[in-house]
Amino acid sequence: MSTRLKSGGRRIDRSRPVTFSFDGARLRGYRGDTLASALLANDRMLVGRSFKYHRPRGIVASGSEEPNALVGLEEGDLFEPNQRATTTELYDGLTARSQNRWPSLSMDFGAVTSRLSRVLPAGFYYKTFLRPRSFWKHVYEPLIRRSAGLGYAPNPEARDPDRYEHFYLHVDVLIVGGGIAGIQSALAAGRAGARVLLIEQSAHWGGRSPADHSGGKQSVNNIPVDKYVDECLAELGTMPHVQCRTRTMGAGVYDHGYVLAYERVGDHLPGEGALRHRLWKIRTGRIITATGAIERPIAFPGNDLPGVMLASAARDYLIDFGVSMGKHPLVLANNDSAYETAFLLQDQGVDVAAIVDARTGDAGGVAQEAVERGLRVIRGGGVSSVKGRRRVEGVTICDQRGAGTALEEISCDAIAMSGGWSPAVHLWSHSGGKLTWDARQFCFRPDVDNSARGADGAPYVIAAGAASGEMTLAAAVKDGHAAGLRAAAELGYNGAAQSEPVATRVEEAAIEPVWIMPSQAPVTLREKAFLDFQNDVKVSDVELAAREGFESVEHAKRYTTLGMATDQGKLSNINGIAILSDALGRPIPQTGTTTFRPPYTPISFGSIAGSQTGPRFLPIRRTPIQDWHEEQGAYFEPVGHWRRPYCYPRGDESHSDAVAREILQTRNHVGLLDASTLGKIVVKGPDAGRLLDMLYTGRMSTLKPGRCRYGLMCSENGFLMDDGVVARLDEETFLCHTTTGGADHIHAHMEDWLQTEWWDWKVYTANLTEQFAQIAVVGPKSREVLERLGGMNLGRDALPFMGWCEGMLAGISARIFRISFSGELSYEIAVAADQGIELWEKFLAAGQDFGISPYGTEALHVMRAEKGFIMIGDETDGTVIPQDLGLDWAIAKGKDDYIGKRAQMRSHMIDPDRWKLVGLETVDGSVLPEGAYAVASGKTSIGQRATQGRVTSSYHSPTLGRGIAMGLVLRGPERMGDELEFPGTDGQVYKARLVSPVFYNPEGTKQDA
Amino acid sequence: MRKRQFDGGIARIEDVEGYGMVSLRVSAETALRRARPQRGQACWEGETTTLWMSPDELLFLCPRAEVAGLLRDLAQDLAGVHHLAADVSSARALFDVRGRNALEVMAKLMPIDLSPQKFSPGRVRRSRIGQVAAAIWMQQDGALRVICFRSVADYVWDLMVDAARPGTEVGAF
Repeated sequence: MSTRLKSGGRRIDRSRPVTFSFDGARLRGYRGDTLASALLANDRMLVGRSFKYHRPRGIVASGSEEPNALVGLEEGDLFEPNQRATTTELYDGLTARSQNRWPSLSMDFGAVTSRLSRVLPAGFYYKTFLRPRSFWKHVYEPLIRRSAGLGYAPNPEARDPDRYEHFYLHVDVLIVGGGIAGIQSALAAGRAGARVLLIEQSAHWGGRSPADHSGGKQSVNNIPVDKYVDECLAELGTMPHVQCRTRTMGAGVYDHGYVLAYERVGDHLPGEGALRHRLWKIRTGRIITATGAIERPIAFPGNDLPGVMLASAARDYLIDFGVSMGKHPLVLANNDSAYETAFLLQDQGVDVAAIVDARTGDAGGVAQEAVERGLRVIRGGGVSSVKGRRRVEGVTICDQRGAGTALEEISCDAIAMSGGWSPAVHLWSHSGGKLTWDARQFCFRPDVDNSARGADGAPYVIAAGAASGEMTLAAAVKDGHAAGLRAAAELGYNGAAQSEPVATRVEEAAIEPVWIMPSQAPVTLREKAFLDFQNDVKVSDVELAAREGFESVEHAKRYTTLGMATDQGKLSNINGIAILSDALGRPIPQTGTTTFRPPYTPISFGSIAGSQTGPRFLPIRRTPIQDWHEEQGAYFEPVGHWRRPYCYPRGDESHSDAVAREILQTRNHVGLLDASTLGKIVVKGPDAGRLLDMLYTGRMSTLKPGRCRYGLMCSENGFLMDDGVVARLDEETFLCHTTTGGADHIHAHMEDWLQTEWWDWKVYTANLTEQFAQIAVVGPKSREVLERLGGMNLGRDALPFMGWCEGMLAGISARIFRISFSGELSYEIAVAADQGIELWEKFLAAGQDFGISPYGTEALHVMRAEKGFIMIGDETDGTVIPQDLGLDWAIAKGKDDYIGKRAQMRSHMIDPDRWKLVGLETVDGSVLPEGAYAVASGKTSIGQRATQGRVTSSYHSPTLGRGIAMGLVLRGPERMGDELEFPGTDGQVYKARLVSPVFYNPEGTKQDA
Repeated sequence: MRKRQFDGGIARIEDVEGYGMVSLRVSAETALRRARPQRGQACWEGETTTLWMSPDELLFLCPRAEVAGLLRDLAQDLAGVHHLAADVSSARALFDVRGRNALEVMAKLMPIDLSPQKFSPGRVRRSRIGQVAAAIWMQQDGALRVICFRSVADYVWDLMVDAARPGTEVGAF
């Protein structure tokens, strides 16, 4: 049984007990514990059930590589599934639940699948659930979803009360990993003068060194390693240009030195609405990955039973938390490092059952020490079976080179295993760093000559310490020092000469690879030896995949799901690759690794969203008159990032009634529109006219100052992109109005052409959209309303249709454009945005006796459709050219060129069979469904009904008392009077006649009044 | 618009009103009869702040009442020279952010290098805040000034006030 020892545990504060709950049981731990160490201290060796077979599982690791100990943390709004107990710092009141078990952890009905494992091999789903096809959706998938899986997704109605944020930082050197190598790198780079950020995923500095390297008895510069760490941290603390952060994980390395780091600010100090996670977005010159190494499990039969743990984790629990993994643990290894576990356990008075060393080669110094300590060492041995149902009760020893014949049984209650070490190369590999196979240490390590390279072609990722394959203390400090110096020097920081740190050197006997134990294990043993604990992938599954032809490691991974769980195969990948290579009879480096992708460990969605939630989710643009619209209870619709009033309902008036009222008021008397959102771009310079002649299809250079002209803008491919009225302000200056949604991209379009193609033309542009409030005063009484404000002569001759003037209107400096998008007598008045609301209210007061009222975007749309005016986005969709819309009159015939002209001359663009704009009048006066298609006879090549046109805009016109619509129809203008059929989605077929799109006042007498 | 002030967090944030702004586009080589800031810098002359916005763009901030005079002077000084000067006094919102953590608060929102070693009085950067365009500079007294378009003033205000919530010091600068 696992237990807390009477003394020891450098991370815990025994004077500060903490109470927590696991599956409803109230348990005690200490401040400084992780959830995993506290569970072990309470002899909770069984902590979860496996993904596929529901096998009992215990804690295997001590860090983020943990595959088994995943829990559901907290409840209600705070609930989060799949949290690793090994990286969850204990706090008072913590509530955790085990996952993937029913009805309880110790009594799980799903475990019946474990007995079926013979018939649930790799690829089982693909083979078994293939037929009948309809069963997949309705039978198989629901069944699999119920029985497989880890934690539950949170309740969709739950709302996370915690807070998250981002932080942008620019540094010269980022060092990921606060172990001895990373600390040494930070010192070297910091002393050289570079701006350094050193981050460590755990809450503590020093990494594995105090627990490894002879149980921390090794030294650097003759200082014991834990003291040395403290001294280095103290020195780093004196450097103002160096920052050190714990609880901050390097999550991903991206191109050009961009790194995401995930800081767990408040996970260990929960509080209502407190800051929980911070996502750091770091730009850096050099990245040093000092991410250490991860110990490999051994694939022996029964290796997934609770009580089997990595030897390094056993050391961590002992040294950091004063917890022993068992009373009679067995140590199982193929390398020297695991002997330290036995020694440390023995030093704490724990009775070590035996050290089973699979190696047969020369025994090294540690084996000698073991013998001197009176520990039993079985050389060349292996484990062929594990006794116990829910936890380890004993093992059968065999010859590692044999087929598993039992030699003896040893009683033990835990197994500390070590299959060697794999450098944590994830961050090195994220943006393209290559790996090389180390045939001496049996691991992939960074190929230092093939780092990720930046925009300048220089490598920007440097691996250091164990992460670079430098496994001993002496090599790690030396490598870390060199990495720090190199990073700083490459960025131009040379500083004063520094002496290289020197650490104790210890000779180690060579590791011997053990990919399957025993090496000649028959299939009955291979199917009990687990590779991937989290996804329940066994040695036999990978071998089956190889037999079935999955030679690529990426394919074998997906077929078997090896390494596809939340731990992304941190423990299983190398063992799985070795098994696959063996099965295929090829060397491991030829098989290679799967791709390492960010994040290193899962990060919260909250941290990705940061503070951009609620009112900060999306920028909502507000016009200078927005407050007034809101006070009136306007109903808004999104237009770009604006929210424009759709209509202004009065009392319990319906939206359609409000729209009809607004239109009739405007057509019969006068209405007001907030047109401030329209784009307003000033174009000035001796070549301004020349530029506009290129940007617009029409000719703007001939426009006279004081006059306005409607223009169309096309893309290079000839498609209509934007439209609007251009006013010539003076000889050199034009004001281009764009659509609401087009302001920014049309300005960018202008600058694009000016800066890249016509850089020698003398033109400047300025986007003045937000400088002005623009108010449209529309209707037969509009002139009278304006004249009542006084200050400007707006008579028919003084300001004719399509003219503009400026002056003081009611004491406000204003520019007045006599333009109309409704067909009525109409003015648009632009004033400084700050004065928009003042002018708006003056209009309301002046037009009171006419019943003046604001109208919204829907009334605007209906009135323009009554008049046959097109709307970008309705009549256009990126495939429509001006000629399709009958806008040939707005294209200057004699111009040599304009953007889109060449494209519009292509055969498909001048094809007489293009769909062209017409008006559509329903036979019975009803409203055509928007977007409906007109059907033709016959079928298309793919068997669908042929079509000959579609509705682009459709409204009920209160002015005409009937439905009106526009549409694009095959040879439409040539077929006036024809009737077409438009099937609706409501089952009805609408009949409509092709007519002129101008339904209202085609003579134009009203706008010219 | 009512003037807002936020003082309950790790930085003090307030609306700044009454400033006039003039945008000037003119070639970098053109001599002006006034101080012209270096690349990426602001400069001060009397009550006027001049910001470098791009190689051929400057932004002047001056008391609102002086805008007309400034435009007149520029027109005079640049007679015959290709340029574009525009009154943009109403186009933008201006904020003042100050306090020991002011730079950190803004570094939660802007992807630029705001570390004190790199961002000192006179430095100007055009960048973004959250999802919208914004510019930031440091006054001579160390306070930050932030501008964005007026339509998104509330959004930017909400982001800044949130980033300045009590207890959210990063401790990085």
